[in-house]
Amino acid sequence: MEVSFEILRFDPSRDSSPRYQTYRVEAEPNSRILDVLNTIKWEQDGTLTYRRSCAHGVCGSDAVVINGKNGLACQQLLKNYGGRTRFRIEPLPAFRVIKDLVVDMEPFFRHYERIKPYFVNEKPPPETERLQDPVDREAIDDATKCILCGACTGSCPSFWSNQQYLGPAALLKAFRFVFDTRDTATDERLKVVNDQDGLWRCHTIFNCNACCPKEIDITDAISRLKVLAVQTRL
Amino acid sequence: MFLRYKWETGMLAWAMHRLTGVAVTFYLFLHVYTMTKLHDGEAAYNTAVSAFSQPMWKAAEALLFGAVLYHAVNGVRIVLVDFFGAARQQRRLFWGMMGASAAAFVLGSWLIISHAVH
Repeated sequence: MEVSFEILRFDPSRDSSPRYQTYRVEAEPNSRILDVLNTIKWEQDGTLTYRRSCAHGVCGSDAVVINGKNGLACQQLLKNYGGRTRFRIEPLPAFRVIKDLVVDMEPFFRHYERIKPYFVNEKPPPETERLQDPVDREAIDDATKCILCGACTGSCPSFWSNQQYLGPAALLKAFRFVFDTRDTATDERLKVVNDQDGLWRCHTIFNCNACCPKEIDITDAISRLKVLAVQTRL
Repeated sequence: MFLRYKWETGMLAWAMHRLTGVAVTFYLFLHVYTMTKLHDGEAAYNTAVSAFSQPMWKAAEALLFGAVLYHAVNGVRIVLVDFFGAARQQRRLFWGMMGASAAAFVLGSWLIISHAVH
């Protein structure tokens, strides 16, 4: 089948404003959005720029807006769009465009680093490993699946209007460690997230949940942190 | 971006919450302004309030009722999502509560408007 890809292109060194460029490509219903982007780049226009690495939904580098909704280009098949043959591809919202579909993820990772996205426990580790009850592990199971693609943070209207907001991905990672029974830096993380640019800027809009390629219930995780923040304050 | 991004239940609920919040705030100013007429005496107040018995204002009153109703019901939904673990049921919760609110809106508007007609 022939599909038409309207891609928002922008090269800050040459263009004064972004513009849509349309490409027509022969593809299969089972083709991924990334396959079509590759075909365009390899066979029609080598100047088209986008990120991709593993191409199998693991590295999280190819999150873009596909027909108005964030998703991984390597994970979405053409047939997932109800037989549509016209596709509109745009860079992740709210981030500065470096070129075409490549955005500057610096604010995303700056916020991510603020919540200490690593395991903290001052006690000397045992000879083998720090054992955890399977039930306790299950509570954070979903949150450990995050691949840091930024689709959630880029889908959040609160982040669109205020890039000082930590964003869903950073808050999810905070949840992952705060609710890890082996971790001991809960108070430090709660101090960072219990802020007007943290938990309380989440207005339960659910765009993050709707676009997460790993189907993580991010809003639920943020809500649990909100409850804990309130209880801790009391 | 707000207009270009795909609208799903959560974004719709949030946008309507903001809109009705602003609308109700405007009503508050109107309400306070009307109340200040009490300073000018009974006659001035009665003149100001009598304007609201016109059919156009009755329709506005029904819309105000709808805005307050939506804002209150969705506010309860947000509290349930935020503090009572209802995130997983948010879609069903939204449409269920909207169904109940729509019924209450029809009944309430009918009472407001039929009262104006009599």
